Order: sequence, then C-alpha cells, then structure tokens
Amino acid sequence: MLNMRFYRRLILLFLLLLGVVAGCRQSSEQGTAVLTIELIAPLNPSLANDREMSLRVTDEAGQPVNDAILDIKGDMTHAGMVPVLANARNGVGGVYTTPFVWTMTGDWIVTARATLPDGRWDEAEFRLRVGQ
Amino acid sequence: MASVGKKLSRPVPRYDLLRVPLVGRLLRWRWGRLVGQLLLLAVALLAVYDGFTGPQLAPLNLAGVLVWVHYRGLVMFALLFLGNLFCMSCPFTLPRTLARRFGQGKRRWPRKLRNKWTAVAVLFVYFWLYEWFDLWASPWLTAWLIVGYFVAAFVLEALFAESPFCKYVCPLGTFNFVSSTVSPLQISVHSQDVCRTCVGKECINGSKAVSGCGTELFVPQIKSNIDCVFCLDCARACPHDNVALAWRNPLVEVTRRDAWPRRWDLNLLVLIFAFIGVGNAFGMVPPIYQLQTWLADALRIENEGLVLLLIFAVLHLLLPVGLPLAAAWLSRRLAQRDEPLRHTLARYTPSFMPLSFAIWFVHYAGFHFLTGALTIVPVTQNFLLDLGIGWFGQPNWALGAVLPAAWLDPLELGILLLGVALSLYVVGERARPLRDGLPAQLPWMLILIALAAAAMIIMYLPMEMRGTMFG
Repeated sequence: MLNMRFYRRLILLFLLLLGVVAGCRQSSEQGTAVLTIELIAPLNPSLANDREMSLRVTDEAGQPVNDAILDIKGDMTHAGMVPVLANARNGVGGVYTTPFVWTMTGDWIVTARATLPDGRWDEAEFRLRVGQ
Repeated sequence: MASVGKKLSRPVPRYDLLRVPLVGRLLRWRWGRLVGQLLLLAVALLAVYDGFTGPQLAPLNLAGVLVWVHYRGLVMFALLFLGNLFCMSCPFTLPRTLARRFGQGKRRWPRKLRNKWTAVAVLFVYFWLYEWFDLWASPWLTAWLIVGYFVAAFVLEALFAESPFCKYVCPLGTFNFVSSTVSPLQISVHSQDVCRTCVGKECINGSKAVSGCGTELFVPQIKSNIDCVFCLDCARACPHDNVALAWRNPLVEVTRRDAWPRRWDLNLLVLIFAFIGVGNAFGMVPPIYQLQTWLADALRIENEGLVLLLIFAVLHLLLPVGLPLAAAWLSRRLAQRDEPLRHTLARYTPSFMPLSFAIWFVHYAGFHFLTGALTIVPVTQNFLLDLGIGWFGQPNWALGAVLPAAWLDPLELGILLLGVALSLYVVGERARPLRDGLPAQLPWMLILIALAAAAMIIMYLPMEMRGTMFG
C-alpha cells in the first residue's frame, strides 16, 4: 500500500512539474505593434517559376509602413527540412519584395515578422501549397 | 524449464563485445541498461512535453525533430554498425517494475497470438495511420504516439508474462527485430558444453538478482536476432560467464538455412517489411497524390483514409504476399521439387533483407537524417528561449545537413545497389544446398530487381511533403 501511495504521489508530482514548466513557455508571446501583413505574391506558388515574394505592411490606420524590417521564414511540414530564410527592407507603398526560392513542392508555412524602427513588431503566418 | 537440444547455437564467438574493457563492463553492469533507458526516457519526456506545449510545426518542435529525424536515423546507423541498440535502451519498458507491482498472477499471452500475425497487423495499421494523419507533420500526435507506447507497454506488461508488447505488438520492436537480422552483433555462447551441463539455465529462468530473458529466448539455441531486445539480462544472469555479444558476418543469419523457422507469419512479416519500405518512401513523392486523386474520382470516395487504405492494402499486403507466393510456386515448379509452398517461400524470403534494409536506410538515415540532423541545434535553442533560457544564443535556422546535398544521390544509389547485389548473392547462397538452378532462382531475382528499381525511381523523383493541416 505504501508503494502504491508513493507511486501515485510520484505521478502527481510529475504532472504538477509539467504544468509549471508548461506555464513558463513564451512561444505564444505577441508583438506589441498592431500591423497588417498581407501576402501579395505568390498566392499559388510554383517551384519552377516563383523566385520572389511580395508582402504588404500597413498600420492600424491602414496606412502603408515603409520603414519596417521584414524577416521571412518558410518551413516545410516535415521535421529536419532546412527553412528558407529571407529579409526585406525599404517598402514602397508598404510593399516589400525579396528573393525567395522554394526548395521543394508540398506544404509550406511562411512566417513574416515586421519589426518597426522602435523595436515593436508583429507577425503573420501564411500556409501555401507549392506546386511544380 | 528449457532444455538444450542437439543443435546448439552458432557462431561460437571470436570477438565478444562483453569482453572489451570498459565497454563490456558497462554493458554487463547490473544497471547498465538502465543508464541508456533513463537517457532515452529523458528524450521521450522532452519530446512529449514539447509536442504538447510547443510550436505545432514539426520542423520547429523537438517531438518532430527527435522522433522523425534523429530516432529513425540513429536507429538505422545503430542497426547497421552494431545491432538492436534501441530495444536495449527502450524507455517504454521502464515502467515494467511498476506494472509488475500492479499485475497480480500474470497470465500467458494467448497461444493463438504467439506468432507474428499481430506484428504484421500493427505494422500495416501503423504505416497506414502514419500517412493518413501525417504523423510526421504533427508534434501533438507524435507526443500522443509516445504516450501510447508507454501505456500499451505498461498495460500488456501488467497483464501478461513474456514481454508480449516487445515480442508481438510493438511496431518499433518489429522494425528493429527484422532489421537486426542483418546486424553484426548477436547474442551467443562461448562454450556449448557449459550450457549442456548447466543446471539452473539462469539465462532464461533468471537468478535471485537478475531476471532471465524477457522474451523467453534460450541463449544456446539463439540462431537469429529476431525477438532479442539486447537487454543482456542473459549475460548478467549466467553464473558461468558464458554469454557473449558476438560479432558476426552481417549476412550469416540470412544465408544460413535453419536460422529462421519456416512459418508463414514470420516470412510474410519480412516480405511485408520490405515492401512497406518502398511504400513508405512512395508516400512522399508526387505520384501518390495523383494516384489518390484518380482513385477518389474513379471510386467516388471522399474519405482520404479509405483511399490510402486501398493503396496500402495493395502496396503493403497484396504485392508482398502475392508476388512472393507466385515466385515460390514458379520456383518450386522450375526446380521440379515436391515440397510445401511454405518451404520454398521460407528458403528465399531471407534474401530480401539486405535490399530491404538498404531501402529503409536510404530513406531514414540517408535522406532524413543526413539532410536534417543539425536542425536539432536551432530547434533546441528555440525551445530553451521559449523557457527563458538564452545561454545558447539565437537559433541559427540555416543549420541542417550533415553532408553536402550533392553527395546524397550517389551515396543513396550506391547503398541501394549494394543492397540489391547482396540480396542476389543471398538468393544464390540459399539455393546452393538444394542445388536450385538459375531458373528456380530467377523469379526471386526478378522481384528483388523490381523492388530495387522502384526504390531508385522514387529516390530520383522530386519530393513533395504535404501535411495534415492543409487537408
């Protein structure tokens, strides 16, 4: 009986620890800027033809933001696949264009983070299926 | 109590890993296995934790990277260069002690299930679900999968003796058992005479301090790595220090006539394992999506799971059963031999192993591991940053491949060619004792060449990875 009680306490302690550590995670951290980041092109990307990406950044009032730094990361859905990284500066009319070369067909998750000169940022995620 | 038959084990070991200084001592140490198990338990808990709480994108999550890149890749390297090291360090069997406390008066695993049919069914279902739910793309499902292994191992261990989870159910165990038939390490004995005169047979019956073989293998009669989890309890229990972890020619098991029993379940498992190797790779190239669409339209099926079930029923069951049975029938006829079809099938089935292992190795180690092993660095950095630990800096997402991409195709092609060459050699070796001529070997050679060609075509096709989140 003593052993059973010990094991129950051990499991409870483990679950509590898991809960505490889970509470420490910051992955859901939000940026402090309120920006709208839109993917303009490509909306239906092709491995063979599309080698650039264009995004538009606007502020809360819908005005174009040209002085942000855009960090773009394209991930595939399988672990171990090296992401495609790109960044862009100097928007024109809020539109940023940067070279972006897809490495494989399939499902991609593109994350674009726009950081303002004062350090505030916001990010958006786009899910795309890259065809031949 | 087991008794020693007339035929004792081979090979008598010339090189015994247990006699190597330090390594041998660590392996034979009473808690030696526990060290590896605790290490993998920590890794499993880390994967479960990140799988449930971390980013739900496999390339960014430890559950995705540790399980689908590192576990699979490192297991293949271990099997190639050593043996079944994962089962040796399996964390899922750790709650065994706890399970034994709950289990009162253990029952024997049902006699009807004491074969590999359950393993065949679980393996088939596992790879079907793997494609249907894109397990590789979901850290959350991966975490549940790990939890499922712990629960299943615990429940079966609590209810039954003979480690039925490892021996009859676990798809990882099945994968490792079959693959380790071409591994260079095997449990053996130094002196068969010592076993003949041994009274206690502690290697299987256990001693006061150490339990005997969990899967109930009797060391002097072990001819194959199948069902051996490399726990080394036999070596620890043997009072005569007679058990060896011996180096062997990796082809010795598949070329020996009597290494495997001539059972339908075991031989079909090996054949199905070989075809799943190709089917699993086929699941990541564009033609499978075209086939899915065509089938769904032709049969008016909207359910993806059902479409995949049909595809894999053909690839993973119908072909690996039908083609070898046809080959066995033709081979028997061409050899003009009067014997049960099962015997002809069992004679040539082991020849699939070198090619089969090469296909799995190219996929899991040659591609996924060598192209993505270093992604563990930024993923770990990101994980630690999430926990507020910044000691290791910002993630460098550009890290990934271990080898230059240009080396991979020639390397993978070389491995596949070596695999098929060794398989054809094994066909010849297995034909020799009964003097089966070339015509009797030809049907088997054709299947092996076709399987290798299919693997090579898939390897050269562009990959297309789709994930469950896109529907």
